Amino acid sequence: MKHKTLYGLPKKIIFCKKTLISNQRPNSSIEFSHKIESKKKTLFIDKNGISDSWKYSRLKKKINYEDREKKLLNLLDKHRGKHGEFDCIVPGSGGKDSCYASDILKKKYNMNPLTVTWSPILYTDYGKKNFNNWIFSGNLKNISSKRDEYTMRYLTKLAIKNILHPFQTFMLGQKIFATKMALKYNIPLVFFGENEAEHGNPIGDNNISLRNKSYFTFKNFDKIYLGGVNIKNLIKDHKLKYKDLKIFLPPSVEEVSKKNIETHYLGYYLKWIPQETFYYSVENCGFRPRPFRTQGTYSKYNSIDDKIDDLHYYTTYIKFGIGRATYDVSQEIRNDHISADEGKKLIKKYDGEFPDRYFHEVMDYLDIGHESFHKICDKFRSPHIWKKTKNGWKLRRTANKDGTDD
Amino acid sequence: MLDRKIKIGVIDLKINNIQSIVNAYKIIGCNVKIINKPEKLKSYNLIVLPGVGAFKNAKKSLMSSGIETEIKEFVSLNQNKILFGICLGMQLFFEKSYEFGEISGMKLIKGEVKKFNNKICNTIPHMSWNKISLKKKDKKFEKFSNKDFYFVHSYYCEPKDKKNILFTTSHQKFNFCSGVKVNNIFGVQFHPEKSGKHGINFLKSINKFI
Amino acid sequence: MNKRKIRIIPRLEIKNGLLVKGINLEGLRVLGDPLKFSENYYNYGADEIIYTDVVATLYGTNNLSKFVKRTSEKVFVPLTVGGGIRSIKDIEEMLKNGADKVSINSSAIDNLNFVYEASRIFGSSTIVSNIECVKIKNKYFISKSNGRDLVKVDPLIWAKKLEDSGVGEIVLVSVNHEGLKYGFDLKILDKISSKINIPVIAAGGAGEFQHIYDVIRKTNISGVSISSLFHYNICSQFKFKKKKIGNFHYLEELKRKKDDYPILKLKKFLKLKGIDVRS
Repeated sequence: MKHKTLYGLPKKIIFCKKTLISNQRPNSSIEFSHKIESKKKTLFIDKNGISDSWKYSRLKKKINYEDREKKLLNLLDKHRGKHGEFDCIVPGSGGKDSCYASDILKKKYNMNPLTVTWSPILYTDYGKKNFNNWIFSGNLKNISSKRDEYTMRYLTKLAIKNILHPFQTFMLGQKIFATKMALKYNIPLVFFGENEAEHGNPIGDNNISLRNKSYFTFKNFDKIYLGGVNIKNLIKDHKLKYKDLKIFLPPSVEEVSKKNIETHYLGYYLKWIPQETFYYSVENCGFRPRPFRTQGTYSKYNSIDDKIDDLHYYTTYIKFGIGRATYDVSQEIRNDHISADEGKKLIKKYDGEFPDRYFHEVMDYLDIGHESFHKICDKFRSPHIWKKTKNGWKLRRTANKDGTDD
Repeated sequence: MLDRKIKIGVIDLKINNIQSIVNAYKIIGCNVKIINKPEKLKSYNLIVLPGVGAFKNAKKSLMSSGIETEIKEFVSLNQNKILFGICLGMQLFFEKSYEFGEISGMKLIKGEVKKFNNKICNTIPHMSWNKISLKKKDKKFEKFSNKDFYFVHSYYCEPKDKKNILFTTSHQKFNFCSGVKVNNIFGVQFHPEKSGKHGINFLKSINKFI
Repeated sequence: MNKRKIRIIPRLEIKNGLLVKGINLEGLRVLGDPLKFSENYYNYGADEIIYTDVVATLYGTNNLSKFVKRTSEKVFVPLTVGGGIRSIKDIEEMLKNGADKVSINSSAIDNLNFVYEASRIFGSSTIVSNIECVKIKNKYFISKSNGRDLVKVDPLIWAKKLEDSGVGEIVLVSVNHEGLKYGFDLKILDKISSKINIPVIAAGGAGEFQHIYDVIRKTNISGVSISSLFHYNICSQFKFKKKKIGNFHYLEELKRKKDDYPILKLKKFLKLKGIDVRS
């Protein structure tokens, strides 16, 4: 039976046999051209049911990290101590990955990183503590973004209403703030952590360490959308000020090329094992996991510093049928830490769990009615993914083959 | 008799772990069999009555299975047939216990089983390594005097005749009987199969009475 | 001070037959074959051993019985087994395979009556409960499923309920301190060990011998349960066989260290300071 599909997602829902994630998973997109009509590029799963991200994880096992480290050393030698007080930029917020990145660059490779933080919208207590520990225990200097709060809230609210993407404003900043700071302080070397491509972006992306420039620069101002609304309309109709919006906008390609800012993934050069970055960050940077399980999944240490984060994963569940547990499971499977069987059990138990812990606080902060939020969600449920039954909305297909159409 | 020639029967009341005592005797090299239904025990040299758990259930199991009768018959045979009770097993030899009411035991030894008084001992159960003190002169047990063995119990035995006391132990300044010997019946409150190397050696010492 | 004999108890967290070690009960780094560890601990001074199946409640399974059986063939000190103990049958199965005590947490929180029933059948001293103590902004709560699910109940109130239901012993795990090796949570350990009459075993936080001495002197605990301090100390002694699934990274990078005997050394240290321990 044919159902309408939203966002240009693949009509047939297929799950990767290995990592359990489905082909509805969107690849990293260019956030500032994101509108509701946007067709999403999604995870490719071949005719044998194997996804790109699984294939990459197998290739990754054959990488010669000695060679890669040599490349890193060459790169670092070019920049160490050469740009004034700091020689590289490490973006992050004190999560396990940024802790590991900044610490290893500083302690093992004798660099002097400047940490830059696009602050969480609503800090969790333990998230703030982790941030403080990161900076103080590492004796690091940090620049944290200051945004006009009204504009931030407004854009986040728009993003929810128009594209059901509460995290858009955060993800925007996360991607471009580092580049802007690099430009501002003339530090032309930026290190991100794990390569996004690992999660299923085209395999081509993985074999170069430079971050695809189009993710964070723009050519045409008119083509920028924030919260699903064109920037001209934001100023004209929504009465937002350009000076307040500027911080959300990416730098131009010209600016970046002129100053030759290079962005690298540390995960290209060093063997990146997410669970081990957890141990490292606890033992070296004062990082602590959440004191309880994150709703929607089983883990306690991934992305725990923003109260809106939990809601973000819930919206991916609504839009793509993929919840937070599925993301965590597929990462652990790719790292050979858990089996597909274990993964299925975890997905069954936790995927799609509603994050009520911070929900009311977040809704009140954004001035969205609680019931309104659920109504908005329902508009974004693609009919080819969801079926309305007498017991509520149910997925048509799941990794456990217990969907309504399975 | 040589350890490897000794035939040991371990009574299984189906309410506790007997695997360890069986494994302990295996390490020593004895011939061990688990007895979980009534049979004539004449061919065994040593019968072990182990036990952790509730007195009531254990006694019920003993009686209803018919094994109690067989044990009593075994004991009456001759001096080279040893009956060895461990923890609850030792308690079952006595006349009665005050655990969850008043329940009668096998009545093989005169005396009662009582609960530690929580006004004297504020940690109950007595779950700890503790030293045993030899009360009857015997070369075979001398080397264990003042050594630590593992105890886990809330009730202790009070033999009527003090001459039957083989070991005593002190729990929070309260002295109680931790071992008895009455003719060919031995009983210890501690768990030799859980007391490390000393415990294994203790079992070997009991074997020497055969 | 009550001069009591302190029990030193290594605690092994097991997943799919592998010894794992997390921090704050999170993370499943593999450290080796648990059987090799427990044999070593038995031979070199352990008074008891605790096994926990860390994913039992998560997956609704419990897989330790075969492993317990193999352990009981070589280890002759008391063995406590926990993780996914949900029914009388589960308890029977563990005891039959060689466990001496079973430890119950998640099931007790779901149904306290289960613990009451179990203690009547098997005796209080067979039934242990491990309380996962979580500290959030200076308030204490408990948790289920190996630190995953927070339950808004005060640990002391819970400990008293367990005691009244017939539990014979409490193992108190301070989740916030666990795996960090900065010391125990003396506050909560003192509070609970002084207010209940059943033995309390301290767990979570041991990093140096001094920590262990402190917790013995400053609280009324009867024993100390230790993981990281011991496991990391001896893990390089054993050859390990890598399986298909698991976080083996640490073992792969590990360099062989000289053989060590942490329990013997600990006991020597404690004895010198006047603490009574089994020789």
